[in-house]
Amino acid sequence: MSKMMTIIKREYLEIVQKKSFLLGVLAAPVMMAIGLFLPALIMENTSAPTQEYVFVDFDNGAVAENIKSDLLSLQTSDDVPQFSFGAIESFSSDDETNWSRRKDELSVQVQNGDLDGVLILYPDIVQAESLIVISKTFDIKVLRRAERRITTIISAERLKLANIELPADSLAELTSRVNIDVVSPAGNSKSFESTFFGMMIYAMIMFMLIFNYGQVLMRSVIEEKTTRIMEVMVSSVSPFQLMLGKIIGLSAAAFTQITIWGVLGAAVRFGFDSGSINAEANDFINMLLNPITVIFFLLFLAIGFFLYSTLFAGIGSMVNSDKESQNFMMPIVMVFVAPFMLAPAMSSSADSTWAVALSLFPFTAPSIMTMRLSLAAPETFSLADPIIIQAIASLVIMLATTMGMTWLVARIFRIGVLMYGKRPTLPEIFRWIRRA
Amino acid sequence: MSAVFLELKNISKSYGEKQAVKSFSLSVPKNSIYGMIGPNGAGKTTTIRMIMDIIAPDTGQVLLNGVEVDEKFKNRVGYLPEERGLHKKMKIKDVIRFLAELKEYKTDDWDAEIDSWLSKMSLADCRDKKVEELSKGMQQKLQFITTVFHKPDIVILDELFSGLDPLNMELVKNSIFDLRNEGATILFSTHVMEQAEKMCDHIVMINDGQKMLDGELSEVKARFGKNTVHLVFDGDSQFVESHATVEHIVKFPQYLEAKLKDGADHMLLLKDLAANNSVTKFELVEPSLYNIFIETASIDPNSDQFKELKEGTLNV
Repeated sequence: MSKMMTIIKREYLEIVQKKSFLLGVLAAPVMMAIGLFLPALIMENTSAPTQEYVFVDFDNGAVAENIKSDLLSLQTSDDVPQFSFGAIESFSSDDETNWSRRKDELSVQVQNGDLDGVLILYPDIVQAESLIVISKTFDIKVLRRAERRITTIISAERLKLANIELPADSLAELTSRVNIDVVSPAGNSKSFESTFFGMMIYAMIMFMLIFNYGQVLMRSVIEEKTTRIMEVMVSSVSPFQLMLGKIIGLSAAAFTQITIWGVLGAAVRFGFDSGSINAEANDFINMLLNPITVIFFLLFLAIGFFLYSTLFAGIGSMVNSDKESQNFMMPIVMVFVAPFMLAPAMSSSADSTWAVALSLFPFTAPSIMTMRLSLAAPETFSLADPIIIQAIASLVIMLATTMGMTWLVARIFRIGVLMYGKRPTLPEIFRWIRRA
Repeated sequence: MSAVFLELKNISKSYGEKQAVKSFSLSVPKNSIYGMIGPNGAGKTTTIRMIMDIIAPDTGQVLLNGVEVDEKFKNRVGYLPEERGLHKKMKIKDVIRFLAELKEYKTDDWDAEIDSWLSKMSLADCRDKKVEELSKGMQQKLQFITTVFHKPDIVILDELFSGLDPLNMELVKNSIFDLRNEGATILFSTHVMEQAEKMCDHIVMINDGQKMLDGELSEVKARFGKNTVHLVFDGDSQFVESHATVEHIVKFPQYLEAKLKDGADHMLLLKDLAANNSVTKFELVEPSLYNIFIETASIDPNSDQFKELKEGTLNV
């Protein structure tokens, strides 16, 4: 036992004393913060106060005037820029030559940046399904607002044709959108964006911790092989003690990292008066820190971490260089990336057969099951809740797999660490397992 | 002869079709320095790994004081493997302590003990350096320190001298004598015959997984008889090589070693040589270990010659 402690201590210190450890601990929250705030910062600072447009109309007459005056009177709330138009340039629909000449001129101006865009109403805009904007930029906020506004005006015109007189503003009021607010059984609001985002955060942390630390372990085993330390070590401790000691030392380092994150997170969470952050962010944090999800996440992380560490240690023991390990890494990377690709489908069908199957399969369980739990966000621990039953079943399967895996890898490790030279073939590995 | 300390009883190991070690037995007396020699691939490293329980023997036992070794045995051994290395990023003092702690060695004053070993090995100012900052030779000396730091009863050294220059060889050699004087038993394998000859009191030679020779060095040498001549003269070595009394020669920088045929009279060679050359040295000696090595290695383990050799061994 004291020998294993010695191994654990060395592994732990070697990892946490590296600069890359400190960097990893600090970089992740910083990157996450940047990921959260940078897009908003960019959007805020790039929009110009007004957008210079040329308004071109083909035979729409009064409707065109309506649309123009309406767009001009659009109040610039918050940071959305306002349109600015000159007089409407009218063309007759059979006046091809003039229009194409003018169009070329305008296109050049847009291209050079002298003009932000050209808005073109082709004939019969009232019946048409779209109008055209020539523009280099694609400011989604401006366009969405204009689109909504123009839709209302054109709808009013269409109603007029059906002999229903309604001013555009009343129409907008009467047809205003109804939002659906989802609220959990315990009364907490859930929005799609924050749920999806929360799910991704969990999957990301799981991925980063398991994969990065797994690779650290694999490299460490490879290094001890290539620098020929292995034989010195296994003459003092059994290969099994060595493997277990390395995995536990690694886990301790990961645990340190999570604890630091936890403390940082708690400081941010409780250091600020919750009144000072907006309600949306508050809801989001509450949703993210749903106790049942967090507890299951930590359990899945702990067992998943051990399972994958064992796997990585086994790979490290079989190969002679980082390069050789790449062949083995491919399937593991796929298993890890799959949840991110499946995320959109997952968010709409979290309880489908394939999602349940993947959340029970021990190698995909850590990420998929956590994602499903994060989506479902169970608020009470009830064994009647299918997702809780599934999560427990998944943990049991993972635990059994981890034990089997440890047994298997210990046999490969024992022989692998003293094998130098060429990478073993699959039949050779099976022989090792039988022989050990 | 002192009591048997470490004993190997008929250990064998096969890798697939190849029998690396064939029913090998060895009795290492307490407080001896036992040299293990043999050509590359003879089975030395496999034998040593089986003693260390790094690979399990197919058959046979390893005994210490007559009792089969267990996990605790590892703490009593200082083992220097042929394939060796240290953690490059660790500090020297940390490496020494780490490997000693793996042997469950305890001391109240790590610093003093570490310093004493470092200065003994002329590494005194390296205490806080990282392993990767040391030269190859220095790393070898450090590796030796880590092997014996925990005061082992048994020291097993595989290819002890590889990577050491003559000065460092002397340092290591003297340390081994010190260890022996302090009560340790030493078993080492090497290719460097001159060093083995100067150091060991017992010798075993392996070839093709079998024991070819075994016994006290002086007895083994005596068995080969005083039929070796060291000579210095100003003529052509070809003359000696083709002389009727000579079986074969080995050229050393300072002299020529000639092994005489069984029953040949060395005076015949001297007479013929002196007739045409100026002879400055002609000494009848015991064969060098080097010569014994070459001669023994050329014996086919399946021949009658080997049987005779074996029978000779049994008398020891």
